[in-house]
Amino acid sequence: MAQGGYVGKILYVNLTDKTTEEIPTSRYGQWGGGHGIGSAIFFDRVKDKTIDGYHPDNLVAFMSSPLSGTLAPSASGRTEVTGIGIQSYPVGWFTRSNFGGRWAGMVKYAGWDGVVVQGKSETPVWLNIVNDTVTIEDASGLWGLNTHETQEEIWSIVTGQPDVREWWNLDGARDSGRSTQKPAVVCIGPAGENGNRNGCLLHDAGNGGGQGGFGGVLGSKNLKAISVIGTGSVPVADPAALMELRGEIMSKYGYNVDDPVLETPFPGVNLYGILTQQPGYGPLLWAAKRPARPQGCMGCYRNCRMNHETGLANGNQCVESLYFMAGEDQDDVMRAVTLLDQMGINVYDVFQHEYLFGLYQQGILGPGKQIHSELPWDKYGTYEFMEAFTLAVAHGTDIGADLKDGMTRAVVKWGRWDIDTSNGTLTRPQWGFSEHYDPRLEVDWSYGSLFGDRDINEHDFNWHVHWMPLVTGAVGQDPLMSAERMAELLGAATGTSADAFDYSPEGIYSDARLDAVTWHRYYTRFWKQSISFCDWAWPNLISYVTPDNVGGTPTYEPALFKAVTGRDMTMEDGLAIGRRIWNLDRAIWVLQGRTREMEVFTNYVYDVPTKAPYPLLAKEDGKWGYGIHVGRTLDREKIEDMKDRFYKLHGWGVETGWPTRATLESLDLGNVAEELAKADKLGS
Amino acid sequence: MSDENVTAFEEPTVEQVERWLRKLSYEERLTGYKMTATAGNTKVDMYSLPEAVLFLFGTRWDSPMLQAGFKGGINWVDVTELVVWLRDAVGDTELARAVEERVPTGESYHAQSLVLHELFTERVNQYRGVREAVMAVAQATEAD
Repeated sequence: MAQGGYVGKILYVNLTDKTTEEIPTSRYGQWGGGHGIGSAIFFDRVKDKTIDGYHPDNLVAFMSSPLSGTLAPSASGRTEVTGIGIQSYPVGWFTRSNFGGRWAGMVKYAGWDGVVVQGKSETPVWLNIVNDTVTIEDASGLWGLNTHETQEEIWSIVTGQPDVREWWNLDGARDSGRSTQKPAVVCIGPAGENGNRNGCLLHDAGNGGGQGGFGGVLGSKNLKAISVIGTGSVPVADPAALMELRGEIMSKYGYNVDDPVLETPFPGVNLYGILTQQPGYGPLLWAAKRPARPQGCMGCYRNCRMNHETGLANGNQCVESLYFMAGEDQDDVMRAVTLLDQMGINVYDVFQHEYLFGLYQQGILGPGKQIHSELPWDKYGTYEFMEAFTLAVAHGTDIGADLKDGMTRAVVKWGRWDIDTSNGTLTRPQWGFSEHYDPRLEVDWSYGSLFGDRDINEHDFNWHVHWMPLVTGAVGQDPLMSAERMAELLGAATGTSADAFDYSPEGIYSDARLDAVTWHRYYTRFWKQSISFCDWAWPNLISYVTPDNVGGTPTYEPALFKAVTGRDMTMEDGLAIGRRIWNLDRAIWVLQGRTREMEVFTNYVYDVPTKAPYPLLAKEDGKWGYGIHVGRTLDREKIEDMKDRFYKLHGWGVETGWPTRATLESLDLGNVAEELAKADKLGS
Repeated sequence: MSDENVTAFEEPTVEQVERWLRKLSYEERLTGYKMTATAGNTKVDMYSLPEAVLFLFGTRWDSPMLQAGFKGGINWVDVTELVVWLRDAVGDTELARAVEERVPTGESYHAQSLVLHELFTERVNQYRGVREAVMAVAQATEAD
């Protein structure tokens, strides 16, 4: 039944026998939405959790949240994807990905809170969802098309017109609704069709769900795309309260284009947008030297991306812009990113192509070398090279025959993994994922990734503890607030303590730090990944544009949740559900084979000191500051001691890292405890 | 830059410019770091002086770090390592010395990059002048 943010049902599709089923959302309402529901359905319906991601029984959930499709600010447009991934190493863990845009809202307008797919079609298919009507269509005509071509073709098929800018009837019946909207399509490109472990999902121009390799997973299921279009609406419990909250948040924390509170001292420096958050700041690595306008996900007031007059790299932001930074021509840089999107490749797996060039320079890789490749390595740094490289990865040709299995597995195959992750030539600290923020320093990021399943990619503390002092210091400004004040604000907003944000060489192992790491795991599992608050806007722990610098967390997340759902939910209530989801995921990883011994970083994290300055909040000799922190490593013994304490804190067995029966039962996860007991994997 | 701060580089020869612009080996590379919000600190290896110029000053290279037109990250090199690299790997000892003497220590990286930009602008313009002269001679010879 549709009420309070939920539209009432989840679509289950069995691709093997081509049947569909409606799952009442209320059956899983206790999990909130998004990730929580995805994990719970996975647990219920995948009996053997030890299967790999390519197995037909793997279940992939595309979930919205109660806030999706509403005007909840920066919390309406993101889709959470869960299932067994194929990217992580050595095991493809049960994992998550997430993409922005308008798919999550549109699926609700069609009357579904999410779509779950399982099984494998014998031939290529795509799902066509038009309100309540669901058809499994032949995709033989789409197979081989790139992601942009695929979506354009589906738009034409569904709307029945080549130019999708006119009113059209959804199914020709008088009362079924008319729309000017294009269907929201999430699809895979050639990389996904080939089962690449770095195959991504793509929606609209540049909304990618990269991590996990879900493009390759869908390819293995012969599922090319899921298209949704609807003419319904989302029930909001208190629309007036929602609008009032939206206005308040925009007014307090938004960027006022007419009279900005905070401005970059150097016009055109996109990097400073991390602090000002002006529209269009998301593609941090390229200044808008071309005609462009800000673009955002459904319902967002920040609009962090850009659409360009050239049509290149539209909607791209964040890491995509790193793919070809050596390009001398900006259009070439953006052309390379566009090609990557069209091929459906996860940039975060392949942007370390510079490592490969280093192998070429050493005479290890190249024509007739130990790693044979006939790509034009002598033209590295040109678009010609980038095009050849991208196509090789997508189609599995030349060196792409190895790289389609992901950079990590390729390097393992070449016998270089131990050498190059020990000397720091290849910086992949855990589970085969590329280094993001330095694991030796920003330990909430690295611990969260190590105890989880992927690079967490959650910037919550990072914007403040690292980026604010880095950006202001680099441009010769004083920090926007004292380190002491920042620690105090972060401690207050998270309900932990100022010492929980001490990144000093001693502080990173402290119990207080583990409190912050724990808050982070619970907050993100619920408020971000289940209720879909966007990583680039929430949590709002500190504000640089209000006089007292106090951010909107923990006030606004529960208030928005209540306005939409009508349910009272405190921040702590949400964190409790986050803890429950975190333990359910942990149980799945344990069933997949996770042990304490596996939770270690690669050697460079312990043995190779950091070199570049890394401003970071820390308390040293009793005084708070933003040091530059060079020469840092992690200590193996201290990490093992930290693990003892972290496992105890979470109610997991110290020897194994497995959840105990008492812990699971206290979280009302007795059924999960039973499954672990049957596998003889309960912690003690 | 005020007149008294102008560094007067000696005019290089054609042979010197060709040598300083050559591709370097893996062992001779310079490593910098790209600091971006998208991926933290990412190592970047540079195998020639033009690659270092591109890294430090962007695709238009006529803009110092962080000025309009530069890519939005911070491209960082250790100035001490840069001096050693210019002197020992590239071989332009004059440029190396100027960097060592003129780039302020203890200042923000932005302040350092402004001086680096001034020095590189002057020196690379000299490189260009020499190369253009060579090309003009070559074209005249071909015309003969």
